[in-house]
Amino acid sequence: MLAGLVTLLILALVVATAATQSALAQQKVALKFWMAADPQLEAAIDELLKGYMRANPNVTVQRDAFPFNEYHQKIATASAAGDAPDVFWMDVRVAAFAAQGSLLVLEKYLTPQNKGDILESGFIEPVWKGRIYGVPMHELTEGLFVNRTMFEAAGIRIPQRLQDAWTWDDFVNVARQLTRRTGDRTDVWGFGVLRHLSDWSILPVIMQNNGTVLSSDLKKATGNLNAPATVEAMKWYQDLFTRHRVIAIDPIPDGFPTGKIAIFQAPSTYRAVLDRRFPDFKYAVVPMFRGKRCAVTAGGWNVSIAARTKNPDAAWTLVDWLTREKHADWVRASGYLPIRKSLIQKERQFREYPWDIFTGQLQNCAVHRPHTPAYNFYFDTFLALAKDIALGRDVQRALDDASARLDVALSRGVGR
Amino acid sequence: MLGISGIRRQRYQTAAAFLLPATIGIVLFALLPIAQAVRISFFDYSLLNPEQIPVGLQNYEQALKDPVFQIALKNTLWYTTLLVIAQTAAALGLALLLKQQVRGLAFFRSAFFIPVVTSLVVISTVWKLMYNTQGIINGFLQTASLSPQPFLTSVDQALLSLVAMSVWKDVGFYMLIFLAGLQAIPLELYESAAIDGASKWRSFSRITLPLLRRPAVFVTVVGTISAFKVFTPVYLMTDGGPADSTTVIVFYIFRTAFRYFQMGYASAMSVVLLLIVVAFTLIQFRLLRTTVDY
Repeated sequence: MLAGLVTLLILALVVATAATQSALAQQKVALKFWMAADPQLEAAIDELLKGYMRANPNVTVQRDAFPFNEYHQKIATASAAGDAPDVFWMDVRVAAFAAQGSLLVLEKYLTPQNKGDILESGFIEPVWKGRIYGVPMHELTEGLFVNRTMFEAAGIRIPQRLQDAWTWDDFVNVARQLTRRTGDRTDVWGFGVLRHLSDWSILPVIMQNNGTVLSSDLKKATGNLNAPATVEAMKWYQDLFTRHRVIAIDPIPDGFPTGKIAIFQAPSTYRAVLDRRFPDFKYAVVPMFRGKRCAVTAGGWNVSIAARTKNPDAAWTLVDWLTREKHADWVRASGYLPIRKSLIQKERQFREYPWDIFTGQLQNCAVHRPHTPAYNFYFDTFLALAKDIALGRDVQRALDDASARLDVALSRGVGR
Repeated sequence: MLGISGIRRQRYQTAAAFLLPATIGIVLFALLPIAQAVRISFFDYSLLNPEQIPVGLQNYEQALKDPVFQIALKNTLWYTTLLVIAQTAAALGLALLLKQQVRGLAFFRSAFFIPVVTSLVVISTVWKLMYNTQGIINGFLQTASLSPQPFLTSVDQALLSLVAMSVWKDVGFYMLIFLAGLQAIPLELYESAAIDGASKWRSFSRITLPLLRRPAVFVTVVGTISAFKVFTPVYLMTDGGPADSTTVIVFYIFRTAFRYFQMGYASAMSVVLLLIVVAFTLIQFRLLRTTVDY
């Protein structure tokens, strides 16, 4: 009699537990997902989200996108208003958001197998004080895009292997050769940069000369940003503007595909832009020029979860969908480089020209922007510094001033 | 039947009813945010974290030591001084010209007023293109065999270039204020002066200028407050450069609050700006006050 009663009780408990689990699975969850605006990328993400919602019918995802210039500010103000998205893209600024406790630590969800499939370089930007706050969606690095018609007309060989990368001197010679002037007017600039004067684009030059920007603990600029190696690198960069005059002070929108720029430094994703908007334009990809060593900036978007989300488990299923399950689809649609070793191994194209230029650089030459909570301050300071140097300001003095300013900001914990 | 006190009470109630909507607006959207900014200025508070740590006067001490804040303050004072002088002089000059009964008067009045009603974002973008090294202004200079100028890329010229654009943008508004002031001056005063043999300059300096004190107070006070708050042209045209030569206070406050997320420090700088603007306004009221009525 007693045994029967106990059995009945256990059965009732099992049924109740199963019913609760089922109810939880059926519980409607609404997630907010934010990303940086880009029509092509938004369309690609929407496709992935449709698939996610089909696979998880109890979860609806509301996607929103904002221009990059105001993207982080939007998340910050939404957080302050208690209306932050559950899941969102985050770049090198992970440190700033993590330092304020805005991001969820993801180690609980990220299995060793999952993490082990991601290139090591992917876990620099989303990590703050040893904890993981984001999963990389892809990797991004730069190369030089060259106008094939101009090169053929000038009889200049196009290097297509990493080991054939131009040296600084080679590069200046080629850029000078391709620059065309009529009197004071420049008709064709030998060189141009998509992320004009940004730390992203200039960091490789400094690193190629064995220079640094901040100390290894990210707390001091003096002795790094104004050290002789960095000064020398920045003088070389200044010469491109003032002495050789191969690059314009102001960026020229669409200058490369319209024949106003012969060599263009741009990320791998620029291929997709050219192929879509200028399908008849003939170009080739060559490796970044190299100084004492090769260096090219790497980074990209990571997917993070808000610390105060009400649905962390559901949010993780979305992060996992975007970064692991549908990684191949995302890479194909976005033009970004894969971050997963399995995909690089599986898809032959990433080991062939021109992808191999980017993947090769990623594996051998990748350098990263300083992932400090004061990154925005560093970014603004560097941009102003680069503009001043491009305009001809004394390099040592400009670097000393910027270093002093960064030291003050870093010591008083800007962003922390 | 209402007594005198009843009528008075009714009048007060009517006045209060008319004043109430504006008062609610001012309290909600001006006074409360100011009070909140003053409160936050005593805290270490980031946009990303709701926790507010009291720090006393630390944010104010930091502002006093911050070299960028000092540069921004100096640039703002320069910008304001140059803008208010140039704007007031230009507006008065134009008002005097348009007071004459010249042909096409309506056209000129409208033409000078068009920039006032045009978006500052649009104007800043267009002027940035015009100021470009290969822009239209340098094109004219080169046509006139003059050397091109680095308007926005020179430490010496960038702030002046912003002042020039701002004068062009707002001069039409201040011109109308002066024009209204000029038209309110009784003609008999000029006629009497002419009978007494006063020259045109004497009439201007002894009649026109003294009687324009009230519009002048308005123009300088509103112009000063507006100049202290300059942000859009800096944000869109120079980003504070080159070499911080156009970094102004509001631009720096914006960056500190919304790019570096330091709301406490940004609020402290906002309070300092508020105190400076109030002080300048009081000084201007005092210097330009008048007892003359007409």
